[in-house]
Amino acid sequence: MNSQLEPQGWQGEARIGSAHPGCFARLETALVLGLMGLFASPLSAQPTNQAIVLLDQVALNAGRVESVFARFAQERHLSLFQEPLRSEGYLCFQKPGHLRWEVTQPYQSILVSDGKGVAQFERAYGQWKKLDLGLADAMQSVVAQIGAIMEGRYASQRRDYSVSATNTADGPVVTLMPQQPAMRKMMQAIELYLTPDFRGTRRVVLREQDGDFTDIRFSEQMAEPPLPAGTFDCNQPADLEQIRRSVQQHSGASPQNPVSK
Amino acid sequence: MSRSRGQIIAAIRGLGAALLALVCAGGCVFQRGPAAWQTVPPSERDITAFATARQTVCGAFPAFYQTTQRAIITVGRRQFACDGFLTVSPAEGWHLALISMLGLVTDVRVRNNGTTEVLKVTPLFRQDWAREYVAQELRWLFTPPPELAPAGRLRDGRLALEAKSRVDGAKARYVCSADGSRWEELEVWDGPRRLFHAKVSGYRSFPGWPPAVPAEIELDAATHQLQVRTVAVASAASPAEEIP
Repeated sequence: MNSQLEPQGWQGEARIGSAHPGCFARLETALVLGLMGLFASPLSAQPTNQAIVLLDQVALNAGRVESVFARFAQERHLSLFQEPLRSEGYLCFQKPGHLRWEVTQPYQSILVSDGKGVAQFERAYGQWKKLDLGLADAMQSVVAQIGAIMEGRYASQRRDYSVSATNTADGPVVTLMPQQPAMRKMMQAIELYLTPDFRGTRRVVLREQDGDFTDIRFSEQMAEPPLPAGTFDCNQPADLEQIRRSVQQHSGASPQNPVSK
Repeated sequence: MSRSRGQIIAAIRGLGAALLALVCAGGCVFQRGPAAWQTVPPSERDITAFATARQTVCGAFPAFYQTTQRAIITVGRRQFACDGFLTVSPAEGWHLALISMLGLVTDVRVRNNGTTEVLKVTPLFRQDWAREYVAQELRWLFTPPPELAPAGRLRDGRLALEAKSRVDGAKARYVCSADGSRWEELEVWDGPRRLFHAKVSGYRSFPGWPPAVPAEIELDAATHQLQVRTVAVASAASPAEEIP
């Protein structure tokens, strides 16, 4: 336990009020864990006293967040390859358990859940095609875990991870380290880079034991955006441009809502 | 939570069983052999076209390159989307990592001498699948052999070129347009059994490699189908250095 954050740092978390500090931390953690196929494990933590304060604030505020929209840029670094595998896109979340992870570059793909089921769409030859998704149960578990985490269970159940935190010039960094040997074999740590004002998460890094890591950077984060009907439709999901227009209109009307640029 | 973990494991095991059954079934289905590939023997007037076809196929991809792909694997009517990350070099062979939303699927290196090394084993992809399928498909699709020989014209006028693997004796037939300017199909046979058939299309340029490459590949291996879309290509060499 090497928490170096000053107590004021955690008080900063408390000032966030109804914004959504840490909700991305939960979501990103879940996504990263999903990439590792570890979503079946309960997410919890064994934190220091100071980290407990943070996690309590995270848990407190997460329950108040209804929906989120953000842009992401993801790099998958494989030790055996010189260049990372890059992708980017947009994330939508809405309680309870509605999730949309849409890759826009270098290809177009949508993973979407309406809270009950999950679907995946791929765009080829100018048209979207719904996949006859294999391992649908596993994918649904991934999405369900993300929803559960965003609703606060991540911070309130603290068993499987040790938590440490450091303060940097760019903001606090929370590190979760798996305690169970089986999980440690696959994952060394999850690093959550929060914004200095705790209003959002800038970046998540999942470090694996063999040097591979996944780096997800978030931008244009928006709390409580008006997501159009069909955003999470598992048969005919709304077009991304429609969602972006809706979010941008909201952003213009409520400039205090963006949590990061 | 533990219940959903059990469900995931059960789902993966279920997939494994289904794949195994399909593999066994597929292995028992012998298709038409190379003898059934009806061609008209090449004539002297076809020399230029076959030379063009050989250059088209052998130059379809750079000799040294790195590519990012999006792949849809279909097994038993179930589909799995993966990112493919492939590096190819004459010295090192082929190195492919497949990654899905559930994590790393497989990381495979295939040497030029045909040896296959599964660098990372995951519950999502068995080692023997990597050795049996991935190795063959990588070798024939993404680095066509230079020792292609004219086999003749098909009934529709297209050109067929053949090569035999020095590694395992498998035989491949590359089919090009009548003038040899477009590589369109590939069939690979192991004796009388067709290992796979692939349609090659979607020629396009990439910032990292201006010459057009076939960016869409649809492969049917009986046990599975594969749609591969190339989304990025980069090569350390210039196109002028790559002409075979």
